[in-house]
Amino acid sequence: MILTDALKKIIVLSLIVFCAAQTLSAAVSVFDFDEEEFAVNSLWHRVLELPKEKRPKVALVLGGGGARGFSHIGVFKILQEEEIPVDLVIGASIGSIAGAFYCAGIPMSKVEELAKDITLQSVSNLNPVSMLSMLFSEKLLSNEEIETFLDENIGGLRFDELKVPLVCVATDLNTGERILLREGSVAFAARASATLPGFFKPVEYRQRYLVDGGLSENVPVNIAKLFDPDIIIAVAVSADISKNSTDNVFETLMQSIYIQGKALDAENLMLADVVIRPDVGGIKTVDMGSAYDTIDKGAFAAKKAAKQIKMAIINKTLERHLIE
Amino acid sequence: MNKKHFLLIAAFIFIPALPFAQGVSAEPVIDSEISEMYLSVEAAKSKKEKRNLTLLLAEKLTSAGQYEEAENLYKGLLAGKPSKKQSFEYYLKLGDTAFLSKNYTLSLDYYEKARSLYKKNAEVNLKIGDVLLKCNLYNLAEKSFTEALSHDEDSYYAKKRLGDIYFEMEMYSKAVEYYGQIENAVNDKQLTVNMAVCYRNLSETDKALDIAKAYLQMTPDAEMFILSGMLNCDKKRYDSAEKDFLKSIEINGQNFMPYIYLAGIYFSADKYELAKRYIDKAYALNSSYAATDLLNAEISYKLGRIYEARRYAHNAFIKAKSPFIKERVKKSSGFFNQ
Repeated sequence: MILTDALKKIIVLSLIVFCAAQTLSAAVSVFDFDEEEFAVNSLWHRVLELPKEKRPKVALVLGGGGARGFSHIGVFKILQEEEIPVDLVIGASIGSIAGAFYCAGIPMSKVEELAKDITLQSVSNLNPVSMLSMLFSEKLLSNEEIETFLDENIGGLRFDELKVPLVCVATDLNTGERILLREGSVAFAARASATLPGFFKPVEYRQRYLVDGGLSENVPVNIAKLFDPDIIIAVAVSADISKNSTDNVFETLMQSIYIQGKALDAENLMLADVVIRPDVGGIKTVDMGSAYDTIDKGAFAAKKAAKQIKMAIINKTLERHLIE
Repeated sequence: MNKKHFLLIAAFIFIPALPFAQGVSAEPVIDSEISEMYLSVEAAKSKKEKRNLTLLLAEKLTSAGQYEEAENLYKGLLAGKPSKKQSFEYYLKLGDTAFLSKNYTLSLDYYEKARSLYKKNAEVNLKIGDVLLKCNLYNLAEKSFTEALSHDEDSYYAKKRLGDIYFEMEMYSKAVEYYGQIENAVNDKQLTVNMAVCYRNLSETDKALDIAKAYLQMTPDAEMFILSGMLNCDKKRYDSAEKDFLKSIEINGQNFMPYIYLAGIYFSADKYELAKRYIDKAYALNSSYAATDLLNAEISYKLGRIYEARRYAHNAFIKAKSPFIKERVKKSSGFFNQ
């Protein structure tokens, strides 16, 4: 193989970048001391020793994104490993389901195992008959199985029994309002929050028809603000619209929803103190088989963001609590 | 300690290995020796002798950094209708020379010509991989090293470089997969550090510690003790971390890092007098960091030396570089000045 001109250009460009990087790294001496890291670690140690009331209140916002939301499990794993406190969880769609597990105190190792075995069929009545019925009589599928699945695995808990407060965001299909679900059955609320419109039957709730919270607030940082936390960490698992396939009706409809929600997502994320963005934009909403990889990507992104989260918490902690 | 810090440690050991392609090095040679060699080439009696002497001369020139002259000699040899094997050898040499003169595009061109002669040769694939790695073209380099490994499945160099590539690409599982295949990896400081970084980033700090310990059992090393101490701090095993930092000081008392870490550990354990002793030692060895002043200010405050605390906080304010440290210093100063 003889080098093409294009490859030669790439190499020349890479060399320019490489040389620039070398010049920069030359300023960093061998076995350098990372003073920021040192300061964060020593102060973090003190934050962890503070009683709950003396440290900032942390809200975690979990965005919607179907199978991409498996990455929330990886995020939780790292937050627990790094001992980052979470005082409130606000979820939309899959974010509500992942949040329900965490807030119920289910070990993430168990949730990980459940996620790896999950299929679209196991959380809905998707089968050849229901598909035909959907195509010919316009009858929507049911996602009641999500509720059953959740109830079985979190022990039928109600909101007031959760270890960490949870808010599930759903959308009123008739008014477009955001509906905050934070009382009654957790499984029911999480199901309502994850009811993909046009695919699953809306969930009836107090004379309203509720569908996916992702429609009105896919990353509900706005909602988190209502609870006045000191720190908001947002986990965005939106689709990368440039990578999304538009080969069929379903994918095209999903793409339309993503395009409409993109600006709102961006606005919401601007309000968060730290944004965790797992590299899952290319994973399809219904790609349940990618759970293993998606969880790892969530963990990787959370690990990268851990220092930033700690810095945000330290900075919001009163000085006298840190020093005295 | 985070990944960045680990990367700095890794970069320390990793970067020096990169500048030269496999088996290529440069060393000073006396000019008179080269002149004599030119004369020998001229006086050669047979074609074979002339070829061998020219090769020796070209290598000397390369070692002396006279790359253009060496290149001309290799080109001359190529013009003399060499065999396929010889052409392969000359193209490799030309590639090496271009690599050393930092003309990576030309180097790659020569290596590619060599590879077109013997596609299944592992060495040429390794060399191509090195050039691509030098250019930060990780995906292309990965292909070359994988190709080399397919022709020589025991290649230490290919496994190591593949590990390095995945390490740089933050694909830590794959990096340890390749590093793990290297025999006696535990003897290699660079590999040990890189593997520890990988495991730490994969949330397997215990494995990282095991690797550091295995290395330390064979080679007591001040830096490796610091690494082990940091890992123990990650795991909140402060007693073990303390021992590691003290051992590091025993081996090399001139590095300020174990002192500042020990000061931090003693501060957390409310042993302020001991913390003060170590932070002062760290300060004496290196006073350029705001974090040292900041910790010194806090320790002084705990010891009731409020004016000293203010002075160190003021020093930290002057030295602070990162926004986080600046913010911390501002808040601490405000607190001490109340």
